[in-house]
Amino acid sequence: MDLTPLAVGLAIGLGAIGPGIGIGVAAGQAFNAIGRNPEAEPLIRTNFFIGLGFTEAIAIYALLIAFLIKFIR
Amino acid sequence: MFWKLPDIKLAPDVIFHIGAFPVTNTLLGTWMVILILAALFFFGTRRRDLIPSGLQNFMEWIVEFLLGLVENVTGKDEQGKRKAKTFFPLVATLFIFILLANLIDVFPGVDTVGAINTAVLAQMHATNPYGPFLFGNISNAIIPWIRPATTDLNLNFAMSLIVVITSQVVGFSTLGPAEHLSKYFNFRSLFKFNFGGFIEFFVGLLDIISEIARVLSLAFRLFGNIFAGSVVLAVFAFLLPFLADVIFIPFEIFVAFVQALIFSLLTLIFLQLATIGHGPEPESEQEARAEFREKHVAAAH
Repeated sequence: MDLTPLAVGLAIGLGAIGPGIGIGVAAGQAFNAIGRNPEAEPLIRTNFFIGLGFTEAIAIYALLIAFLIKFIR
Repeated sequence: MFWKLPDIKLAPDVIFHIGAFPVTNTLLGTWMVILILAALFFFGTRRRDLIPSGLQNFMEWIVEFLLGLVENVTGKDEQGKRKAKTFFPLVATLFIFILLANLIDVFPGVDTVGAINTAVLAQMHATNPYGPFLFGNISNAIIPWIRPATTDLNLNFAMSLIVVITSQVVGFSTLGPAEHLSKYFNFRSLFKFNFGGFIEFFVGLLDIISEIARVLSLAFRLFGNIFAGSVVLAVFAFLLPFLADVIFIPFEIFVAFVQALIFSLLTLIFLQLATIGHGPEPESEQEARAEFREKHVAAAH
């Protein structure tokens, strides 16, 4: 019984849980900060995108492993 | 069936050979980026007007923006400005090159125009009746001529190795070999002979492993983002032609900017961290209070 499709699904599915929660928390804190200090919005937005890049990279690592399993035996 | 799912390949294909040197399609993408950058900077710096306009203005704006970014991290005092001048070439070059190499992913013709894969054709015993266009069952039998440069893992590894080796060299040259090596082999804390000192020594050894992790994480972050982006564009063009890519192409442009910024910002932070040695030794509270008093009382006079 070939379990490769199951492996691919689990790799990206479980791997996206952490970054999903992380990006949600980061966005929530960014909104909070803008609410407290609307003048600092450009600064907050820039730093939010920088943090977003790091968090999203973890999800990309999981996607990479899924691709590797699926297309390169 | 009108068309098939495009072939997703991790490794680049060799297009032709120059003597014994194989030229892959990502290498052609890199040369395209180099040509565009050379042309842009040649025409942008030809006239040295004191009040710039047009292309020269745009180039100066980019350089000022990047210099401001570097000075934000290294500090705006005199020593920080000197460090900014040293770090600026590497950080700015990485930013501009990676930005352009990511952006050619959304160029028309990249990843879509190429040579017909005759091996696949022979395997499926099909012929190509439509000349330069591929339809139906053989629509994914293509080897693209140009692929975006950063979808090649070799380029990303090369760049991240350059960054880590440069930060080590900068550390050795500004701090001196003894001070720099004592950040990793922290014998000063081991000779304190208490539990905290032993843990600090162990953490110093773990820092060596974190340097290797930096190489891997820098390379894979950039590669994963751009490669997955090109795959997403190809697959959504298969699923919903003309319409789905209207949403994904702007997203790919945004990811190109963010990833270039993150790579160069991380380079800058690693370089800055390499020039900072151990902090001052923790003193007793009396000495700290005496220091505070003389610093502020002297300033008040």
